[in-house]
Amino acid sequence: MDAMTLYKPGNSFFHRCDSRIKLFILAVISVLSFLFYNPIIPMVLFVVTLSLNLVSTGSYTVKNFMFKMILVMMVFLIILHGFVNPGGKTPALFFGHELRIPYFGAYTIEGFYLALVFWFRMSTVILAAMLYITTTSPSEMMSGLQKLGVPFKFCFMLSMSLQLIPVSTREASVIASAQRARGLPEKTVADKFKGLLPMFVPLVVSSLDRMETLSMALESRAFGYSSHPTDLSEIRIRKADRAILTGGIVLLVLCIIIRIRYGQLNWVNTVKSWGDVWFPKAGGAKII
Amino acid sequence: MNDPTNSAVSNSIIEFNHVNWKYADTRFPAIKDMNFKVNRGEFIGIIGVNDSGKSTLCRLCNGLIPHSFTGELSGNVQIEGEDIKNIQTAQLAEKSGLVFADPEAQLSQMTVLDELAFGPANLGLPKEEIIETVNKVLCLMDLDSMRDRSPYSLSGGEQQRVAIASVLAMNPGILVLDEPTSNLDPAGTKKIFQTIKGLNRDTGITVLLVEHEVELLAEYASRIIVLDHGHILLDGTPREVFSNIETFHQIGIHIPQVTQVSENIKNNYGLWKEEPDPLTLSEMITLLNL
Repeated sequence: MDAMTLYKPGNSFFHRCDSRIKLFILAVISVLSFLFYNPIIPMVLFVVTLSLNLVSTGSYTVKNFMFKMILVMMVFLIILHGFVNPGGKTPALFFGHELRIPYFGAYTIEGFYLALVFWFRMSTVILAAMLYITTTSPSEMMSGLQKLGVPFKFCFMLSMSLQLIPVSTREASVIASAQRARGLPEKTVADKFKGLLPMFVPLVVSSLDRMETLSMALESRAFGYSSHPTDLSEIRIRKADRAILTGGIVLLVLCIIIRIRYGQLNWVNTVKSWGDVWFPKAGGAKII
Repeated sequence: MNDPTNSAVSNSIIEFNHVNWKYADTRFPAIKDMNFKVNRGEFIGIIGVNDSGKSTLCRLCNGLIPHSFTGELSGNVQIEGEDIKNIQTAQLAEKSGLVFADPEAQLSQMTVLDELAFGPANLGLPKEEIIETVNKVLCLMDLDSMRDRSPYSLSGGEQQRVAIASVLAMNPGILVLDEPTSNLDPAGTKKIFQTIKGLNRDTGITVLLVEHEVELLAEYASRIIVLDHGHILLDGTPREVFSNIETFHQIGIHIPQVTQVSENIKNNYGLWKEEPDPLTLSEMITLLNL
């Protein structure tokens, strides 16, 4: 039951970072990845966040279910967008042949470009969030949020719900076993759906019961006595944190200036072959 | 029997005067005209069948009633000389701590250390003071080795010790425990009893313990109160209380098995007529060696 959250204890650079700074990094990476409309910048960010993850928690993130979901999403998006994206005009050539399916038409190179943009953006944000979650212990997360001005009661609610998920899951499995022991039919899918109702009622009742005890226990430990309870955490902004903060702001401002000055750096209208996806066409390329 | 009115006024830490309480959603009062006093440093065992008012009594000692429950309260309950109606539960938390039956449901933090610091932090005490208290309580409750673990990963007995410790960290003068061992195995139960007795002896904390384990109460408690339908039926030392065997049979509560055995021997074989009934196994063994 120790592994209730995705937090992976460790002592890497990011583990030692202030949780507010990590939240800031998450915000910067998310904004940057959505700022430009080409596959290169989100891809670079993707590689950067992935390596940050690898450096701080080893293979933990890569082995995680979320990461596998990202890969599944990639395959799905790349196939789907290629055929159905309305921006698709130029059919892509697979060893000199077009790939067509009835009703959807050909697999287009523009669709592939857009799928890549979308996928790199999404997976970068997910990985950046993973970096925050896996390197920040829940109590640091809470005190970080609190210091950012989120009300104590809201932080408490958040941490409480994080903890109650595994407790409820365990309770649900106990109830399910009890129902099974009394011969709950489970042969067909319909049976399984019907079985949810007898499980739902005791689960809700027992959760309410637990909440009553918890609220009494909290109240008898002076919960709500002060709106600013003593903060015991040791989080403090270090020099490295300040450097990251400054660097992040500079990068963000720089990119926003580029965005305003040069636009989205989108070259989807000039892609004609696989190679064009990665670089704007030299010479006649029109950068929108 | 102890006459509650005889105990010294200055010494009493809890005082019930003609207390009546009826929950808003029930027809009959849970507590009827209850009068008793608890002296500082007593270890009181409270027994009674279900719905006899034990949990209500605990909530009254903690101010949860009347502040968090709706119902009608008459008479007055004084904790350390102050009427509970006039103090909020959060303030009462410093005077009287409450531990519940389900160890897991009362824990809320990510680590044992945070759990213990939760109460004093809510009071807004300075950080250094909290750390000092928490370290003291960790040692006292033998929890030092698991300070950084999640309370949810501990065994039931350990969780209950964390729950007790988290209450102790608020430094209350009274410790009220509402069936703290009902979810535990015999070894865990015994350990909890020993811990509570040790606290009572070493720190002088007043203990009110609601329990079904009469054998252990007979061994550890200094005074037993028997509740029935919101009344105090019996009140006295374990020896005085458990000598009323007939009353116990009537309300359907067990008495310690050794007491029952010796009573049967007395009645059926005419032995040990002038000996007092043994309450614990060791007393029985002494008696048998005579």
